[in-house]
Amino acid sequence: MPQSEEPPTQSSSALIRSELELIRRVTDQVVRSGDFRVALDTLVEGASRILGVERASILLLHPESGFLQIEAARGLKPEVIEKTRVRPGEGIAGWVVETGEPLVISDVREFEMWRKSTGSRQNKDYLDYSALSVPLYFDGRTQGVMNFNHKLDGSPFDESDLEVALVAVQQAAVALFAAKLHEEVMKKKVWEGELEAARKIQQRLLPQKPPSLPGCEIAARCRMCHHVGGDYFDFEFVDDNWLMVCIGDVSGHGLGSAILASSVRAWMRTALRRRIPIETVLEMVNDLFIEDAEPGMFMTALLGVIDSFNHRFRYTCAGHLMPMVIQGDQPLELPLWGTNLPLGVDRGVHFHAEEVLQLAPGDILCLMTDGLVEAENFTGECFGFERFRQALVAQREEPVEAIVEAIFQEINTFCQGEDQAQDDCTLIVIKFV
Amino acid sequence: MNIGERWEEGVLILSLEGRLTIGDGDVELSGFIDEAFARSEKKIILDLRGVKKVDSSGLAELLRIRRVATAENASIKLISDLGSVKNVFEMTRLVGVFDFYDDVMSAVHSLRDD
Repeated sequence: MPQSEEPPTQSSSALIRSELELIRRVTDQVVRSGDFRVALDTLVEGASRILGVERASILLLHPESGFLQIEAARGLKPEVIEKTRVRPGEGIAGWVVETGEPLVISDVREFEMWRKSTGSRQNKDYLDYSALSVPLYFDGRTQGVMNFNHKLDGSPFDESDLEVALVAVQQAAVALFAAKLHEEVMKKKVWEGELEAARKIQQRLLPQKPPSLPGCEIAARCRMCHHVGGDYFDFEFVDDNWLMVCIGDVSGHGLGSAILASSVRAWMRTALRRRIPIETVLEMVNDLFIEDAEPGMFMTALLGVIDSFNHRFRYTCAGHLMPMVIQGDQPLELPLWGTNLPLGVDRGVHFHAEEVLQLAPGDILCLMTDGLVEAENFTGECFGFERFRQALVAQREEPVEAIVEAIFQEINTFCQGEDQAQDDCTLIVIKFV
Repeated sequence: MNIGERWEEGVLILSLEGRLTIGDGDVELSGFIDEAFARSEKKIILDLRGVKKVDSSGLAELLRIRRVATAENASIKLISDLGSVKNVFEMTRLVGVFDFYDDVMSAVHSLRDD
């Protein structure tokens, strides 16, 4: 069974917490200073410590020269940092930036690109020949690379090291994106600019298309309201037939909330890759959230795992709306709300899993944010749970994309226009086939 | 949002009328509360019976107040009747985080022992 029912061991807990803490520290740097260089330095230091490496660096493509240059480094001589220029396609870093593919190499001497680029220098600069290099994907294309060399214990890099590196480089991309928008906000110096920046960050974090899970059809949509921010959803495969799904709503607004949502996404993905129970994931994320968030800020969330082979859904609800399930032409009777507090209220809170839902082919599972059911018409009446259930039952035979479209249309009609929305609306529809 | 201020047996009572939502109510409440703490008020009741709607920003402001109150060694009580506002606290499970009362005097009397 891919997701462990046992709590993590002390050493794996320590590793997970180190990775999550690194993400938190980088995010904190970006939020406090808006300076991506400080954030990248923090990232290089922290990732090096977690991986136990002597050398690490982040290289970015410079648009004027077209070369990769070092922006942050650890364990490299100043003259190396100053003078390094890597052409895309040359050497390991150049290959990674050109292909967009990560590399885990136990011996770089076997890599033709490395032999071509280093020639007679190969014996002087390397203590060992294992290397790890991951692409930094930002603004729609690969724009840099994060490199790691010289593990202190002498062991070669492996797949678990690659997972840590991918998390680190993902945060580097968020830091760069947030810093770029922060610069634009500072230039514009208007409140609407910051809200637009926050909206862009959140849109960028959302999955661009639903995942393909055997035995399920999935559709999702998030409609952001202009003056609020905070809805978030994510998918991440735990195994071939196990899919993590998360939906949430960060309170508040602005760049800080958006960057916090990006941290939550990274924390959850990192912890879930270690296959720890979802309740434990929320406990870890909760404590980190409190460290980073402004006082009072909180996040409702529902975190679950779909087992498409056995048609089961195991989930934990943190102050969020419970799922809605249609079986046949009837909604399943479930409580409207779960048993746990939202994230960010108190430190050290224990989270409990809700019941496991046993579903069958033809059943529809719906996750949503409160913006959907609380959408108001001109008289102040809310769309409500009952209208939502009826709309779902009426559309149950349709493909999932059509169900999502139909429900949003019903809400638009009820509110007399999409531009009347007061809050973000997010809907995930999963049909078991 | 309108906020009425009065005292009862040494307890500050803030009566809220209107919406406690993003940019509309949360900012006013924040100002009132920060002034109250600056004056070293230690016993505060928030009467939410006149609140028509509360959103996540409103809840976040209440959570902030709770945290500040703890740091200031102050007590915060809420009054709300059964309705959509109380429902929001139920849905988010925050109803157990705050002390809720049905009327002002019950809340005032509870603060005698705090």
